[in-house]
Amino acid sequence: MSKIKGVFEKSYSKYIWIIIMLITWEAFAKLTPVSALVFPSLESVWQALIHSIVTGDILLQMLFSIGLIMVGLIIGVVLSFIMSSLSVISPVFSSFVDTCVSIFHPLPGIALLPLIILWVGTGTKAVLFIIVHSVLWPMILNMTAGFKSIPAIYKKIGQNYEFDHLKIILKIYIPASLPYLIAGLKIGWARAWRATISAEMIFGASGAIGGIGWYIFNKRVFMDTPGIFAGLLMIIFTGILVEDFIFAKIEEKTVKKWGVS
Amino acid sequence: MSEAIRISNLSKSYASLSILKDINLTIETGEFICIIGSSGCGKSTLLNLIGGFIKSDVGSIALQGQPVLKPNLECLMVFQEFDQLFPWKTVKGNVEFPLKNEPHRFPTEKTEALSQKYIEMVKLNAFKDFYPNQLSGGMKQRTAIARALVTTPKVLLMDEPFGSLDAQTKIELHQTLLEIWKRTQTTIVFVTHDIREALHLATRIIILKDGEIFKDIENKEKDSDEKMKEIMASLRL
Repeated sequence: MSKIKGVFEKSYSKYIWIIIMLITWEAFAKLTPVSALVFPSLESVWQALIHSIVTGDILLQMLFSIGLIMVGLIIGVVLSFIMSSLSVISPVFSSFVDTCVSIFHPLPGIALLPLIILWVGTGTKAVLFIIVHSVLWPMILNMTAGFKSIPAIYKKIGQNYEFDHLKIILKIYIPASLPYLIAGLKIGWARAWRATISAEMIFGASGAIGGIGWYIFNKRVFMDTPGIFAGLLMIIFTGILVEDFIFAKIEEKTVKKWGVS
Repeated sequence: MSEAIRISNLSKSYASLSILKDINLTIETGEFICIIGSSGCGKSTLLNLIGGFIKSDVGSIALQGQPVLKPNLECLMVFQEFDQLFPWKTVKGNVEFPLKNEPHRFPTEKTEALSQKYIEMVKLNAFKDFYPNQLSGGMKQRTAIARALVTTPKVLLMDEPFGSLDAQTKIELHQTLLEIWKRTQTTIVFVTHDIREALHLATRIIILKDGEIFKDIENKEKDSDEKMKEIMASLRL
């Protein structure tokens, strides 16, 4: 019993659960009278996935969505850095940012769609607008919370070395609040995905090929359920890859090594 | 000896509470001054005023003739808190931090040589690649002292730096600090509430009481029991 418990305490336990889920999925699809159109077997999902990979559709559309997300994330992170930094320097600006966060953070990007269509149309810019909106507010919340959590003596040390505000933020505040910044990035990444898929499904093919949201939407239109699952699997696979091989590595080399996570 | 710090008619209040009242004090270059007093007597406030971290209501502070208006590199502070080190930097990284930034920004070889010299001085050579979370409290304070001294400030301000350490570590650090002080001849202003610590370290002891300088004692013979009694009596009065 303790051996089993030990296995599930390891970092790879996530993969054991995934295998269990896949086995349950296959058993459910094969052993119950449920229609393959509603709940396809893993075999047909796998075939749909391979077919989409071979034809190149799914990979190109994934890359298109990831590209949009990266651009949106970068814009969101830069804007949140500027707004959080100004909040540290100016109590007046801090009050303004707090007000903006209270107003816009609870507002779902999709609720803004009618306005976004009016303002910027239905193209890539509109998807980017929604991504930035989804990333910006949680990122500001995390960044300002990180800055506020920094021991007061760090600021004193910066002042002692005659640093100006920008230097204190860059050299001390940013590395000192890294656990919060990484948490903010994780939330931003997840919210950017949600925003992208929703916007792509509503706007249709933005750009030449459209993103993974458009891929899934198309599969739904043609009642290609294995194709829908193939699209979802690609998103899940990318999510796990980014979580385990990018964020986990960054944390391992920074906050975990420093003992501040 | 030349004058390192001159404090003239210094007063400081918080709301209606008077913390420091008309302080006049001259500290000579190379002196090791200990400021002692009970909690809330204004020791740390005085140190923060000398460092330029807070502003006085009345009076002035001059560092080698220049008025102290804001924190500056010539007068560096070592704090009591262990978390004064940057956790994202190793011992070496922490010590090199002020050397890699303006106005110093020394070439790599000079930065390395200087950090090595001060890391050796605080006896942390074997731990120079360790991160603060891998160090003991005493090691962290040693690193903080090295980081403060590496830019060769004129004055070192120390706010109960050994207050949270065990007795044995405290004794070791006293020894190291005295060795460094003798070697560098940096003027040190050291705040403590530990009379024995003051008697062991200082060349001069200032007793603060109710925001005023109650006594200014020369401490030529270290660890004197007589002075211990005198200071204890002063604090009790």
